[in-house]
Amino acid sequence: MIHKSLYYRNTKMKNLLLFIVTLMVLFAGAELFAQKNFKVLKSFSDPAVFKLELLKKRSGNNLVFLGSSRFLDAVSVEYLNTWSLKENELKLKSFDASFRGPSFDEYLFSIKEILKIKNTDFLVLEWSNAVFSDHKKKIKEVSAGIIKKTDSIENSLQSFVLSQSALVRLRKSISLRSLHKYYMLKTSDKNTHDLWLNPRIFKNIYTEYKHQSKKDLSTFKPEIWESLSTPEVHGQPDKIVRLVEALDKAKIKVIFVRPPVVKEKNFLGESFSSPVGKFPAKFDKSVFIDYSKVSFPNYLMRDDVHLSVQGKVLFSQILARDLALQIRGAE
Amino acid sequence: MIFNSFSFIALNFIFLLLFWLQRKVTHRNLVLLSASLIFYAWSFWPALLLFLLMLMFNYAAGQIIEKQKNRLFLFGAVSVNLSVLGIFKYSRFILECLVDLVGLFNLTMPVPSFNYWLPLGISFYTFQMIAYLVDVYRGDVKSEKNVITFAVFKSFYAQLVAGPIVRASELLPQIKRVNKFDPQKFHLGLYYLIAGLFIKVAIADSISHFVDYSFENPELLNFLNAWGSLYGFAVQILADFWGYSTIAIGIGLLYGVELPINFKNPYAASSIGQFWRTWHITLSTWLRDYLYFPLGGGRRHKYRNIIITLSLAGLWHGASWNFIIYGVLHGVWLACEKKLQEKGFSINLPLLCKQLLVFQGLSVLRVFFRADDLPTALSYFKSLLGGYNSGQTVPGDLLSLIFSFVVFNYFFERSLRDKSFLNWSLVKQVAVTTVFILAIISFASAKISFIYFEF
Repeated sequence: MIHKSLYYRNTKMKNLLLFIVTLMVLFAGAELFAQKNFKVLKSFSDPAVFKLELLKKRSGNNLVFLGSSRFLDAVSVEYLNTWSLKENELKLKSFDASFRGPSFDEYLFSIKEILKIKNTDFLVLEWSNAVFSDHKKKIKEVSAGIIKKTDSIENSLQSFVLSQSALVRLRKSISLRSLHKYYMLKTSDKNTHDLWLNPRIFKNIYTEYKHQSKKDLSTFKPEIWESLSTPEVHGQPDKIVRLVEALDKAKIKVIFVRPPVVKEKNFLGESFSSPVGKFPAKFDKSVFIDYSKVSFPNYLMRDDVHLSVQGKVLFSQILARDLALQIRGAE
Repeated sequence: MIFNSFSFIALNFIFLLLFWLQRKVTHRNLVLLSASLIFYAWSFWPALLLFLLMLMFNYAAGQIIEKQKNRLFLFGAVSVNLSVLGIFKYSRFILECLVDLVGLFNLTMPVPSFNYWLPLGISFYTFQMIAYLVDVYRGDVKSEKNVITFAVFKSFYAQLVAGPIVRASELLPQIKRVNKFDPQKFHLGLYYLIAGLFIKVAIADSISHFVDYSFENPELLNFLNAWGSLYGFAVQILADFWGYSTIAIGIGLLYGVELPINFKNPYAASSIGQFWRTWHITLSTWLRDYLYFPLGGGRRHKYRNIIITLSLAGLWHGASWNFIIYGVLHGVWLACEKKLQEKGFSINLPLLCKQLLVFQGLSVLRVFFRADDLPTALSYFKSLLGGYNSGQTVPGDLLSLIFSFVVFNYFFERSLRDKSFLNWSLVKQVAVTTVFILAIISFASAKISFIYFEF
């Protein structure tokens, strides 16, 4: 009986120790993995940074878009690639690095990061009030603490845990979606994951891909500036200077696009008649394509500054046509 | 100190280690007592003074009641306990009611202004002390002579501030004997602790953001949003309290102590009677044994006793008319159900329909429970009837959380009240626990207290 009871006790102890040790080994492994891949894993919790990580994994010559939700809702890179090849006989490899609600600092940060990536040949930048505004500031470098500050012992423990554990610092990246994001990273070269990267996926069911016939696009003609008379935008001149500095050393062609708009949003509270910054005389690298005065029927816009699904399909065709001219000209 | 904090986790394991390093029961109890008093005093140390006073009073009262076996002594001791509870919890409410009453006659009443504070867990430990005194009087348990043992019984930090409400007959014998380290209990305790934190942090705390917003701004809710938030609250309150109880039971098991189960899948109840047998079981049984039966139970004035018991249960939850109405409505519902059952009347519906109907009724009554006051409750009812026109859609995250809870409940509820976890394979144990821990890390954000801490 004693022998039996000892046996059971030893078995229970063995099960307990196995459980604890297995958990510890698993989390130690996870911690090491987190430390080794910290930058990539951190990007899972930030849509803008995640797109930059996806871009880094792509090879070949890329046409990269960068803007706000106006670009996200205006451009389908899959559709753009298809129409470029079909209608303009131009093979493009596009990627959309746009993200919703950027502040100017984030916009500039993304531009600088894209310029560091060597696989980009053409950069299409949104030129609008949205990207030049400060309506939403986020600072990527700061990681938020886990628990709101209360007493000092708790604060000290929080800080200690945060400083020691990469896994805890990556808490915002822990989700089921992270598995899918990891898969997207691994397959980024072959797949733009266009549908998944736009959060409003259900609004962008591309049923019209199958049915879209070639439309008469001749009525949709933008204004194109290749000179230095850039279109007006509400943005402080110092931001223009910073943007020029960032682009000055770029060896790639930069194309500014002003998306269609019904009525411009004024983030700064200034009157629309106030002239704003223009590019300095010595800056001659970019071309501006302005669609803001192109008349788009109501059904192509879902609000004053964003295109509807049908608008996105059509605009991608239009952009494919107009970008082809610029890209061919550059070649 | 709340359970979902680093301080608690650190302190818990330090004292756990110290506890198991001791061989003698007295030394172990001293460690446990120290842990409990530190835990209690952490948030607000003056509350500890009151608690210690109540502890010493009830320790002495138990001895006297056992010797004298005098009903008057029992009545006196219980009255003292209830008076302390009344002063700290209900004095403000009573004063406000008096002011309103006097105001009806166009008179004013001077109200002394002083800072009201509610000692943490006063409702719980008061009920526990009353139960002890009555049990001693009835002879169900002997009064505890050892003051340390008694103090540990009353102050055990796992259950002190929000239950389960433990009886002397359940806890005292476990504290008094030298328990050998039981690896199975420790193993199960770890699982309960982690699972409880998951329910609390990942589900309850996450849903609370939506629910708080909705109940603060009912006029901004459309029909769907109002119902979505109400069901969200139903999930939140169960997850919050069930999570806490599970953590408490887990901590108990880590010390080799078995605390009673407090929830048995209450939303699967097909009647209000069954609900009260499966929701906050230790409170329900307390109310039955120390209020309902002394009032006469089912022998005389059965329906009156049911209504009184549940009305007072409502009042126990909070000092406001909302809670009284909540309790009264529950009492009326249960009384009606009992009456219909006795008449032989039964509704012939599939089980799922009955469960949904009961859940729906419970959710509607919870408006009174959650709203800060009557006007807010009425405003919320208006939104439930589609009285406000808001264009906001039901947040997808709220629906995801509710769905996650339903899935969790379906797969894991049973494992949190029996020992089935120990029969799982190692792979399953580790996989499930890992997911829970990752979810806790991911969702741990604002430090939100337990709802029942306010009682």
